[in-house]
Amino acid sequence: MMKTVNLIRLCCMLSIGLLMYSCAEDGPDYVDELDVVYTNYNDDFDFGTTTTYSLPDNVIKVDDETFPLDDGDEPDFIDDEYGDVILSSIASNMDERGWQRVDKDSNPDVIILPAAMSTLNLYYYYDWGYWGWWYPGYFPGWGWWYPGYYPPFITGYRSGTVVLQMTHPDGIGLDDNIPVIWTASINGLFEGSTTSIQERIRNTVDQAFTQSPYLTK
Amino acid sequence: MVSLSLTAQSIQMKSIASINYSVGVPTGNLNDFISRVSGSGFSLDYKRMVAPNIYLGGELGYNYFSEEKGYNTYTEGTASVSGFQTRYNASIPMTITADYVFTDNSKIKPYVGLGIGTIYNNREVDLGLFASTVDTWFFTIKPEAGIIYNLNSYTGIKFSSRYYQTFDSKDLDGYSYLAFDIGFVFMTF
Repeated sequence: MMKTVNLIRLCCMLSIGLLMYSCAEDGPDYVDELDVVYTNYNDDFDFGTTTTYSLPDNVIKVDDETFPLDDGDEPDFIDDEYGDVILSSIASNMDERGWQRVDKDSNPDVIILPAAMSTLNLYYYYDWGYWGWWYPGYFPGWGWWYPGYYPPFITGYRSGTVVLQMTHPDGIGLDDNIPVIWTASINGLFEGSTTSIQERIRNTVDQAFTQSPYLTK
Repeated sequence: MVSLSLTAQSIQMKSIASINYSVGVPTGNLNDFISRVSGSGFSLDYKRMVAPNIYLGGELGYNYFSEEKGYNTYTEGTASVSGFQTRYNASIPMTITADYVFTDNSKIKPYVGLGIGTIYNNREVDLGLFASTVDTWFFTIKPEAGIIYNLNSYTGIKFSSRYYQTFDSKDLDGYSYLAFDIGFVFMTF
């Protein structure tokens, strides 16, 4: 009888111990833990042959713009307090990796186009016309071309996404598609103080470059 | 002799029902996916005597596994994605069971059994705001061993261990886990 009681007590203690150890985990607790950084690139492109890059002074805001824009018109830009952080983070990461920034009219090897959007559904496509105001040699019939890889289709909650597209202007083919040789997409909830959002932008842009070692010279 | 045999049979339990709290321990490739022990589970079972010491019945269970994998970078081909990943696996086993109860007359009744049936499985991987979900049905076999401890003639406490082995489905590879149950037993004679 004594042995039976001990057995039951042991089983109960074991069960309680397992229960305490095993409470279900239910995912992120903080907004920065919802940030996701996705990158992809064209494996056939030799990044070793490129050294110069160009970057605009603004981050475009992708919304419901219709194209073509009137001559002299520009699309909406995101607020400088966020745009400047995106641009300076891109520039510092590129510079640290041995790239040299040049003017867009100085025949850069690559051109990085930063865009931001707030969306419920996001396909990694936005109208090429958003960059007609700035891209050297712009032709309205151009489109995007992702050689050797496909950007994903994404559905999610209302969230903010920053898309960086590294384009190769010399690779524009007869079909008028501009090759995007590297893509980074950063997604997260647009919540929190300005400072905390700026910090999250900085960290996630850094992460996009960290997980893309092929960009280092 | 005849009378003794009749006496022995007459006190055999006609049916056994139990409601159990279930702790799941992932093994095999489920352990690779989620290594955390799960305290979120239960099972219900009912069985009827079909021959001396032999019971046939059914079991419905639920075991919910989850694990936060933290912030990591995952690379496949040319694509890399970084984020805070959480993994979930919900298993709902439904099996037909056959059990052999060794002794009917003592306060402690050990038993062994085998179940065959299906597991409805929902697996989800969350990364940031994005989720990837796979629903599938597995064929499963489930050996089980346990004891029933009588509190009185009609109720008792049950301790059991079950091992669920599933087989590859078209959506997911088969996996396995152990379930340790503790529950209340109701018996009829």
